[in-house]
Amino acid sequence: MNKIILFKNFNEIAECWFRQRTKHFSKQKTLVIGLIMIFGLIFMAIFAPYITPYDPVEVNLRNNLLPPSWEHPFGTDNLGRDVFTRVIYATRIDLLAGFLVVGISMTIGLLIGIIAGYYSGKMDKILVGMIDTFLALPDIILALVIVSSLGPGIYNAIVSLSLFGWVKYARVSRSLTLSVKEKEFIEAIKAIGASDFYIITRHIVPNIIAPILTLAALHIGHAILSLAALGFLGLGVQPPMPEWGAMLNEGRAFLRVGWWLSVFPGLMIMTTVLAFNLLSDGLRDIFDPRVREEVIK
Amino acid sequence: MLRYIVKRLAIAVFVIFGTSALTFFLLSLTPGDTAVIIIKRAFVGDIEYNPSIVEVKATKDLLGLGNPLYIQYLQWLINALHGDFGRSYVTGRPVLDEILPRLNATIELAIVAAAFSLLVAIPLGVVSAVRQNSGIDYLSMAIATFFVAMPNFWVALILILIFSLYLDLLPATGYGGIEHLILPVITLGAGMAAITMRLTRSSVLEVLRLDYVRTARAKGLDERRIILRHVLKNAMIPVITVVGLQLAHLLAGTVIVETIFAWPGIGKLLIDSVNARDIPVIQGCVFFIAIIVSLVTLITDVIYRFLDPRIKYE
Repeated sequence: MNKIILFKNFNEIAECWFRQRTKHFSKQKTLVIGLIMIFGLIFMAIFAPYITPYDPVEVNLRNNLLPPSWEHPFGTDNLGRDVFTRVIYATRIDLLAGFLVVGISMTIGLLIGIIAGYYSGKMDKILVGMIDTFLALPDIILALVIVSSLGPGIYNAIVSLSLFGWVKYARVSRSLTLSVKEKEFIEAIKAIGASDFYIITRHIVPNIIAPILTLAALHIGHAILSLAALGFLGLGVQPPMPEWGAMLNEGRAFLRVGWWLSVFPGLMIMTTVLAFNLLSDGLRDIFDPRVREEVIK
Repeated sequence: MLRYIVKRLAIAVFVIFGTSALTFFLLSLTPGDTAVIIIKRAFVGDIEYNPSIVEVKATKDLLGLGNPLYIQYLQWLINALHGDFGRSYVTGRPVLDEILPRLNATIELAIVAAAFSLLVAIPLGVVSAVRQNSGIDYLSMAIATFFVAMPNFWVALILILIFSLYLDLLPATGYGGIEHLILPVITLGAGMAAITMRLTRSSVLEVLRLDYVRTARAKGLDERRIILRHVLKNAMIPVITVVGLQLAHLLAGTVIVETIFAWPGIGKLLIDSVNARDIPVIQGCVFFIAIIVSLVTLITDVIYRFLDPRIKYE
C-alpha cells in the first residue's frame, strides 16, 4: 500500500499495480473464466440482432409452444415468439439494468461513505444509524415497498434497488477511509497544505478502490438476481419486454405443456450471476494479500 | 455482557422504528388521495364509487389524514404499539388479524429450511476441508458455486417440473402435511446450504492450520477426535454469525418461495398486498419482518460473543 502513495495519478498507480499483479492473473482461473463469460454476455447483448433472425416481441400465434428444434433452439412461447431470441435480447435489459443499479449505488455510496469516514463527527454517527436501519431489512423487501408506491416497471425497479444498494458501499468505504486517513502519508500531505478535496480524490479513493470494485462485481450478480426476482413477481420489467425473470413468470403458467419456457431463462440468469461471482472471487484473491499468498503457493 | 445486550437491544429498537418510519414515508409517495382510496376500498368496497367532497373531508378528519406526515406516522406508531395496525383496504379486517395467523407458516418454513441446510452443509463442508482437493471436495464446491448463482424462483420451478409434473411424487402447491413442506424447504435451503458449506470448509481449513491442532496430532489423538472435539468448536464460530444473518435474509426468500408454492405465510401476504396496493397491510408486514430480522440478528450477535470470549464487549 505504502508504495502506491508516491504516485500522483490513477494511471500510474494502475500501471504499477498491473505490473505487480499481472503475473498472478494467469493463475487466477476463476477470474479468467468469469471475464470470458462476461465478455461473451456483453457480445451477445450488443450483437443480438445478428445472432438471431427473429423478433423478440412480434407475436406469431401459428407457432405457439413449439418444443426446441433446429429452427427454434429453445422452443417458442405461448405467443409463438422464439424463446432463444427473447433470452438473447433480455441480456441487454438485464445487464444494462444491473450495471445501472451498481453504478448509481457505488457513486452514492462512495460519496457518502468517504465524506462520513473522512470528517467523522456527528454526520458519521447519523450515517451509521442509517446504515443499520437500511441493512436491517433484505433489499428485496424494501424494493417491494418502493415498487408498491411508485408502481411496477423497469425504471422504478432500478431506482428502488439503487436506493438501498448504496448502503453497502457506504459502509465499506467509510470503514476503509477511517483506516486510511490515520496513515502517516495522509498526515504528511496534510502538513504540506493539501486541500481535503485533493487528499480525498488523489489519495483516499485510489487506496480504497480495490475492495470496492470486488464488492461491485459481487453486487452486479446480486442486482441482476433481485431485478429478475422483481420481474418474476410481476413488479419489474413489464411484458412484452423480454427480461429473464418476467419470462419465467410468463412461462410458469405453461409449466406442464412447455418446460422450455421455464428452463432456459433461468439458465441464463444462473450463467450471468455465476460469471460475476467468479469475477468477484478472482478479484478478491488478487486484492487480498493473505489469500494471494496461498494462491501463489 | 448484560451491558452489551442492553446496548444491542436499544439499537434493535431504533432499527425497528427506523424501518417503520422509512416504509411509512415511502408508502406515502403512493399516487392518489389516500382518503379517496380508503373510502372506495374499505368503506364502500366498490372501486368505481365516486366519493363526494364532504365524504372525503369527513374521512380525512376522522383518520387525521390532513395532518403533516410525521404526525400521521406518530399516530400510526402509537396505535401500532397498542396493537392497532389499522384495517386492510381489501378485506376490511384488522391488519393484525391478517398477519398473525400467517407468521406461524413462515416461521415453520424458515426453521425447517435452515435446519435442512445446516444438516447438509456442515457435514459436507467439514468433509471437503478434511479431504481438501479430493474428488468429493471438488464436486461439492462445484455444486455449491452453481447453487449460489441459481435464483430460488428458478430452482422452485425446476423442482415442481421434476417432482410434481413428471414424477408426480409431491404436490406443487399447498399447505399442510410434510409432503407440502419438502419442495419449498429444498428451494429455500439449497442456496443457504451452498453458502454455509463454502464457509464451513474455509473455516475448518483455517483452524486445521493452527498450532493447537498440530499439538493434538503430536499427542497422538486420532484424527476423528481432533476434528469433532477440537477443530469443529472453533471453526463453527464464524459459521454461526453467517447462519444468523442468512436466517434473516431467508425471510426475503420466503417472499418468493411462498408465492410460488402458495404457502400461506407473511411473504405471500406481502406480495398480495403489494399487488393490491393494500398499504396498511404492507406497512404491518414490513414492521413484523423488521422485528423478526432484528431479533434474529440480536440473538446471533449475543451467541457469537458468548461463544468467543476473545471478542471484547464494546
